[in-house]
This record gives sequence, structure tokens and C-alpha cells, in this order.
Amino acid sequence: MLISRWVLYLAFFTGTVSIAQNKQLLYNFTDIPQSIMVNPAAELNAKAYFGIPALSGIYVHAGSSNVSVYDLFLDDGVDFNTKVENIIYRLGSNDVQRINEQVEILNIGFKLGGRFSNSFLSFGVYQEADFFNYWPKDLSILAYEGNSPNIGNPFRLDHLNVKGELLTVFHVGFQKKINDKFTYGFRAKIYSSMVDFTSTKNSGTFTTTLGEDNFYRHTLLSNVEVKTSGLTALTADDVDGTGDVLGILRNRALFGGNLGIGFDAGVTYTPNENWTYTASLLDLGVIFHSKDVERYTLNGAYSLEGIELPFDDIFTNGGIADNWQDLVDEIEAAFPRDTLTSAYTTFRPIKLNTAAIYNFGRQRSAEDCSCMGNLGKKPNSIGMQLYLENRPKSIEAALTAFYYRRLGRALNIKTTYTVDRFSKTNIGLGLSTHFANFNFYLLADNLIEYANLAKANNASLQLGFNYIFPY
Amino acid sequence: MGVPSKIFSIIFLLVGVFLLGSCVRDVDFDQAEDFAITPVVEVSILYFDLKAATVGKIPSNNAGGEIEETTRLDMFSDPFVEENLQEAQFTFEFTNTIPRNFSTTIILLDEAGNELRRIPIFVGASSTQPNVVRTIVTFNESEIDLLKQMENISIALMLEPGNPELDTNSPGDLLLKSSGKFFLNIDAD
Repeated sequence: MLISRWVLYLAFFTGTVSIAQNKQLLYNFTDIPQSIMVNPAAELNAKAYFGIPALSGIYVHAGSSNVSVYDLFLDDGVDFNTKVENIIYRLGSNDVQRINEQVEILNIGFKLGGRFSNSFLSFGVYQEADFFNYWPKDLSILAYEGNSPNIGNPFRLDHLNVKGELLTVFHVGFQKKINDKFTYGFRAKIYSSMVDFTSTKNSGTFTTTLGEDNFYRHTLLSNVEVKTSGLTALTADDVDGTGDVLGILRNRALFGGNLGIGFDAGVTYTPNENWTYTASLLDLGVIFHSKDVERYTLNGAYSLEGIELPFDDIFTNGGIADNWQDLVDEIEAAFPRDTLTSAYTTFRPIKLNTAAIYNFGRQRSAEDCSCMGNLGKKPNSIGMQLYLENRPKSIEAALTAFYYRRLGRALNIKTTYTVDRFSKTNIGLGLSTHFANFNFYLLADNLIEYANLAKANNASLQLGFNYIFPY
Repeated sequence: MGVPSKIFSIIFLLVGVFLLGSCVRDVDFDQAEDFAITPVVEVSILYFDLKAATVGKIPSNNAGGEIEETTRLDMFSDPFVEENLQEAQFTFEFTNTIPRNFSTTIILLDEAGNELRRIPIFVGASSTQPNVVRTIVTFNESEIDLLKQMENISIALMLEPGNPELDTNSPGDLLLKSSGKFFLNIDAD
């Protein structure tokens, strides 16, 4: 009945940050090679590129709907537990806390020749961590108040909905420009999952009602499962210290983890020089967990009004049974706590990007600059982007309006205004600079809160270095 | 220095300012050490339904008789409870519809069977109405350590001498309902 303290801690402190995977600044920012990672049909302004290993793409995003670090940790003299209380009553079971992090290890792309002219090939490896939690509203109330003020109210176990994974992704993408108007691309991915924990399909209730034979009747209907892979080997007794853990993870980071496959696809359609439309579908993928699997289940139904003292037994059976042990045995029989090691499958969160872009301004000629393949392209763009992401209880959506400006050879900028569940005031700025064929980019959103990130419900940062072979 | 490199320097300066300028201000993460929640958990404990007809099996019961039962109730040895239980409040409610007096005693015992607390409750005979006797027993912060040693509970029912003599057809019951209200304090230590 009692939620152990670490669950609370986890809930609170992961609850303070959340990251979204909406890369609204990178999407369609085709001066940056990594834009091909969010749309395999992104038409890069490069003949070839390679990312500076481990520095080409560093991305972090955290988000927490309805609560920020500031709300909890503001140094204002208000009692900390009053703030905890406020947050517990403010958050609902659809509020999310999320973190996403990606680091590119390798990313290379080049235009193909010969019969594959007008085609672009890219491949690489990146590492990703993703954590997504729905606030366990009822369980937090149960932990905070106990059942005493909640007689008659069921606590819903489906509020427990959490998923975390650490994986390496190997990918190869192919892009083909069919004609001046139409480009398509796709990317195949192999996932090597290092660690996974998933508990997203729970149901049941815990309820205390007024009883018949005793004051209260406690009823637990439970269908709860936590699936893990890769965790047991890390927590084994002979694993000693960070070094060992990293050693094990490093081994799995190559193809030693639980493997999966995935697919990205995208299109770019430019009916005329003023209009561009793009769409991409990312991480249509599945991971098969068979190595180092542990699944914990708590399935059953039981009602209890306490322990009955069967006085009649004194006379009829000449003694009394061990009521306590009987009860314990009965409850254990009602809730067989199994630890299974059978394989399971997880789906990656699918992401959909779409955009409509209007391009305008005076076209630059070859004499004006050496614009690296930007010849004929208009220097300004405005547009709208829609981002959708499939998560267990919700489709996470974000709508972005943007302005893009090409400032000559050295600098391109993109600013965004994004509305999503985390924020209605999310302004982002992206810079892509080119100097001596080196490309450096920096993309950050939620700039209004940047002066004090503690106030932000949501923030992301992405940066990296590439070497580009221009046209 | 060419124009592009100037732009480049400016950008790096901007980026630097941008990164340095971002910070997490006016927050004090040490507050987390004050974290404490105080849930109140209420659970049913013992209950029984002792029928007058069962008491009637005691021969010559107009001279009195005694029934006693002990059961294990190992609720407090769990480390979580041990650490976080601050106060406890038990409610015992007898409902007597038997026209005889009972002197009942609830005895809390430790693992070895030593008495920790003896709670005598007199439950008088019912005449026309059921006789309901409700007793609340509190273990406050200074007494809670005693309760944490409890592993067994014993209930002794002493039928006082009197009339009518009960037989195996006598109507009525002596009912017990009981619950515990446990005040927890879960903090960051």
C-alpha cells in the first residue's frame, strides 16, 4: 500500500526537468547537415559532409508540463513541503516529465555519382537516452495523504506509466532527387538497446471502503507489470563501481545489446520557387528484448477486512489456526509476484514532422557570393511546422511558426515560435555558421526563460561541428 | 581579418554570452533535505462474531467462563514502518446483543509473548438495544517505540457470572470491529 520513498524521489526530481524531442529549429534548416536526421529528404547545401566525431551533434531536451524547477526550488522562504503540496495538487495524470538526449558519434554523408547521381547517401552512429513519465497522480496522492482521507475513492494504478531507454542507433540513409520538384529519402536503423524499462500498460485500483464485518474493506485489483532489460547485469553483486557499469554498457553499445530495427522516411516537395512542403516520419521501429530480461508482475484481486478471530474453532476444532500466517499465505496466493525472463518487444516513439514554407526575397547571383549551393534559392523563408509524437497515453503535439534568413556565406539564422503543452511562449533561435568549410551550429529554444532556466517548463539545446564540402 | 572571420568572432562572442548568460537563478536545491510527507493510513485489524450459542457451549456458564485467543499481528516489524511510524490510534468497537456482561481485555504482546500493553474494556449486557462500546487507544510519539515491538495480539473474553444461562440455542452475538490509524512521517533522511 505504501509507496516507497525512492519512487517519490524519482517522481519529483525527474519531474523537475522535461525535454521534448521536437527539433523545430533543426527541421528544414538545411544548412546544417544534421537536418537530414529529422528529414531523410532534406536537401542539404553540401556535396558531402562529415561530422567532427562526437562533436557533430549534441542534443539535450527536458520538459515538464505544469511545473518547473523554479516552482519547487525557488529560494523564497516558503516551506519546501508547502511547494511539494502545491505541485501534488496541481499536476494531473496526463502531465508529463521527459528527458531526451542524443550524441552523434559519427555522421557522414555524400552525394553519389554515376547512375546514382541526384542521390545522397548518409550514415552514422548516435547514442540516445529517452525518459518519458506520466505523473502518477493517484499514487502521489496516496503517498502524500494516505488512504485515511480517501475512504471510498479508488486509487488508479494505470497512472503508473513510465518508460526509459538508453540505446545506440546505427543508421544509413538514402535520398533521391527525382526532379526539380520532388525529393524522397529514407533511413534504415539498427537499435542496440543498452538499458530499457517499460511500465506502460497497467490497470487496477486500490480502494478502501466501509466494511461489513469490520470498519473498512481494502480492495486491491492489480494488473501491473514492469519490464526491464539490461538492468540486472548492471546491478549484479560482482559489478563494482562506475567503471564496471561503463564497461558493460560499452560492450552493449556496439551490437551487444538487445537489437531492433527501425525506419525513417521523408519527402520534400517544391512545386515552385516560392513554396516548399516537407514531411518526415521518424523511428518507425521496434526493439526485441531477449537478453538480460527481468519482468516483474503484480496481478491479482483481493479484498480484506482484517483478520477474523474464529472463536467457534475453539470448540469445534479444539484450537485456533494461525490466522496471520493464513492471511499472509492467502494474499501471496492472490498476488503471485512473478519475475519472468521471457522476451518482450517495445516500440520506439514515432515522430511526424510536416512543414509548409514560403520562400521570398531577391535571389542571389553567383557574383554576389559563393553561397554554397544556395544559387537560385531565395534568402528568406517563413512557414509553419507541425510535430506529432506518439506516446503511450497521448499524442504529443507542437505547432511552430518560423522565420529563416540566409545572411550570406557565413551565417544563417532561424527563429521559431512554438506552442505545445509545455509552453505558449517558446521562442527559439538557431545559428548556423560556415567558415573555411567548417560548420558550427547552435540551436536553443525557450529563450525567454533562458536567463533563468529554472523557470522553464521546457528547454532544448543542440550544437555541433561539421566539415562541409560545398558545391 | 576578413569580413567572414569578423562575423565568426562576433558569433562566437554571442554564443559565449548566450551560454554564460543562461543560468539557474534564485533556487536552492538544499531545500530537498526538508522533504517530508505525512500520510495517514487506516486499516482494518481484528474482527470477530462470537455467537451466544457458542458461549452456551461452556458448561454452567451462569458461574462465568473465559475464552482467549492470540494471533500474530506482525504489522510493525517492517523496516519502513519501523522507521516512519510516528503515532498510532486504535479503535476497538464491541457490539453486544447478549444479555450478559463481558469483561474483555486486549493484550499487545511482543515476539516472546511479553505483555506490552493491557487494554481492559467492560462490555455490559444488552437489554433491548445492542450495547455498543467504543474504545480509542492512542500511542503518541513517546509511546510508539513500545508499539513497534508488538508482534502478537491477544483477546481475552471473560463472561461474568450471571443470568440467563446461555445454551446452544441462545440468540445474540458479541461483535468486535477494530482498526488502526497510523500517522507516518516520511522524510529525506
